[in-house]
Amino acid sequence: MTQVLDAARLAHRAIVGATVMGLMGKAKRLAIVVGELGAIARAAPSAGHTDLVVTVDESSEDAAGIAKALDAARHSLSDDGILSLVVGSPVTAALIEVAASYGDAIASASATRDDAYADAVAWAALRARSARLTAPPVEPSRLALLVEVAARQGLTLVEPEIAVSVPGLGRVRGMKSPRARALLATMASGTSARPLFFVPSARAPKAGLLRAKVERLADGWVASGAAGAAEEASDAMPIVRAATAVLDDAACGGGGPMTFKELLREARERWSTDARANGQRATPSATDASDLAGALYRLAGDDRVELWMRDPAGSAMALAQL
Amino acid sequence: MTARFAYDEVPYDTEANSEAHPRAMATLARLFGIDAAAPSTARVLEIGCGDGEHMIAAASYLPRARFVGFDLAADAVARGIEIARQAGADNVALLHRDVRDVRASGLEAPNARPFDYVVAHGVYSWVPEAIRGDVLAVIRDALAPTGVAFLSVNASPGWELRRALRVLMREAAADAEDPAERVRLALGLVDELATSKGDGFVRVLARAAGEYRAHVVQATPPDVPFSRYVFHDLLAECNDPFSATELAARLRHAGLRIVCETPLARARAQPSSAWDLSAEMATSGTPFLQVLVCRDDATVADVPALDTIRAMHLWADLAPAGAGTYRTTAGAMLRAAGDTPLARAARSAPGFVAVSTLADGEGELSDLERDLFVAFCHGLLAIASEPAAIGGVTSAPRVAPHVRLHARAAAARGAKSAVLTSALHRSFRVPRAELAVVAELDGTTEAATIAARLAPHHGAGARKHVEKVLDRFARYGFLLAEEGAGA
Repeated sequence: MTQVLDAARLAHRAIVGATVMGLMGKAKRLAIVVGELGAIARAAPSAGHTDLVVTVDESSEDAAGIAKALDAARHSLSDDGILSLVVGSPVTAALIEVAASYGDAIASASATRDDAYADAVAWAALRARSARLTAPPVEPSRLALLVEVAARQGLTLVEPEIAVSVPGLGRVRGMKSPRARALLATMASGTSARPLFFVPSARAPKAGLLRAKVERLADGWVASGAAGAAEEASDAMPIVRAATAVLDDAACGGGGPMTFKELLREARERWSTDARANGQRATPSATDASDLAGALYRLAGDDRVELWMRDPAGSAMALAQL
Repeated sequence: MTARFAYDEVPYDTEANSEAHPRAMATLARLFGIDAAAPSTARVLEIGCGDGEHMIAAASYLPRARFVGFDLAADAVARGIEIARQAGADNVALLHRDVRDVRASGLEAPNARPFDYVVAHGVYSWVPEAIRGDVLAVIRDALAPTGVAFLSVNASPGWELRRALRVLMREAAADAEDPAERVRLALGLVDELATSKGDGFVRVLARAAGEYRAHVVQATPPDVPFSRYVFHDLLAECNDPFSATELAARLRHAGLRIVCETPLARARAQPSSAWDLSAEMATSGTPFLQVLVCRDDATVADVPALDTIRAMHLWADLAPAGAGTYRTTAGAMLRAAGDTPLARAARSAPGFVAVSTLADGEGELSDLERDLFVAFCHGLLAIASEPAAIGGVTSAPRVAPHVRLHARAAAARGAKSAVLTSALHRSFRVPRAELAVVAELDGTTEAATIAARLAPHHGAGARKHVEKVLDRFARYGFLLAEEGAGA
């Protein structure tokens, strides 16, 4: 099951990313425009009132069309406004497609093999069955064109350190530019919908490098993702394991998103209860919140959880879909 | 890199491809009902031949066949022309040509079409999209009515993980001009990815990076300054994969069709009336696909006709391994106790044996065809439409001039080893100590004389060393029959 251009989900995903990156303005009610690049070019949203423009690239626009769309987007932005281009990995898209078509046959054949391809298809099969958010995949040459045209229109791509956008990737040298970091994060995370951010060039940080803080998620909401949150790795932190179990139980019970603070509290209770049952002791730590935030951010990138930084019911934003 | 063609700037280390040999192509063609031409007298065209190593090696064992190859890399073609001259391969013509010109004007006599076999190995995925139509048009135009072509491409979905690596490798190497530096930076990134400890897709990519690294080691000759394979593959300007469906559609558009994959997939050994190449590629995850292709007006069977095997030959390279068991040069262990067809074949080893002579009666022959087909699909045994003129150890053993040329050249430059190609078109990396023996196998020098020449290095063990090398080379299919092929 897939959803394409689900405006509300795209908007919320972009808001979460922008919040973690420190890009999101303080407006209580956000004015958001969501639309494909071509639609933005044609519609030319109202000047100077939009806090967030969220777009996807269907690859139907040439350089001139991209320029027109980005120019329209830039002029529509408020003083603190940002543009988000949501992209997917072409490799992930291909793997999910093959898993959807040949999932059972591959699972049967993979039972006797142990290699990266078998791992990849198993990973993709889980996602093929879930209602994940997808954006059109972006090829490297297309991304380079978008970034180049954006720069000419006064919009600069900004990216955080790789350690934040793809936890666990380790040190990867040579990916210095924001475009290179965006490419690495998109390909290495296996994302189906990753927001990239462009800010008016005058506001861009040095070298396009953002200081991301996952702790900012503490003011948000969380729910189990379409693929299920369960963190079963034996080396997962106890607070994270407990939290994902809480989320999955809530989802099974038909519950909606809970606040991060509620989740942290319930996760501590669950951890404590489980520890007592095993004759152990759960010791809350001052880093529980940041540890949990980091894990949730990683899981969100893998569609295992959904995150919101504005009311999930949408009351804190005025959303216009083009 | 744009100032000079990439393959002139950095040579590509071409090797013989056994599935792209006319004998292998003829075998599969006949299995699928195509009356393919006899390889021994065939006309063979190679598109993108590089330095002609694949063709010169084949031509060395098929002196009555005619081989024509062309490539855009002028330096590679020049090297190949010299090697062919030194090897006495006067049945090989190597031409510096652009495929677009060949499509427009053809090749001039005596190198003009038609051809019984066409090879386009390592070409289609690696040329610009604008040229791919020309490649297929040249194949279609060149093929005789019962001609078959070999085409290799990177294959989706198996190649998708390499696509991810390619994107990142090219980015990592983007600021470097020097080819060796580009490869160093790219492989550095691969090594970093391989050590990642993350979850989810990060873990998948880490594993893919580790596997690719191991693959590069295998694909890169040990004596080159850097991996030219990486430079011309994942770092290449053009490199696109194709699914079976997409490839079939492109071929159809060009007046061609797929006969089968090569080598045949193991799953073909299961009796089935339906074969789905797309499903096979999805389940196997192979990143590389080789197919046999023919004109769309040729008659092709949907499934292999096993009764064609009775007219073929079995390559018996079976060495006794005790208690009715035999080992092939590929390391497969086969049981053949009593007076079974395989035991009869083993008695003729090493050499080709007509399948029809191995069975008593129609019943046993049908069973034998089935068993050989299964073994063939599993890569355990080789069958061929016609035998190569190779045999066992004689008093004055002889290898093909091309093989001696390479052995001598390697010895002259002090190389630790060299890749030599057998009559079965299989390549082996041969160590220095054995090259010294091979260089002497000219059909006039007796084994004892060779041993005497090597005595200063091997002492009393020289004779045993020579015998061991000769036995191994006989089993690998290097030794020519006394009245057989080669100059």
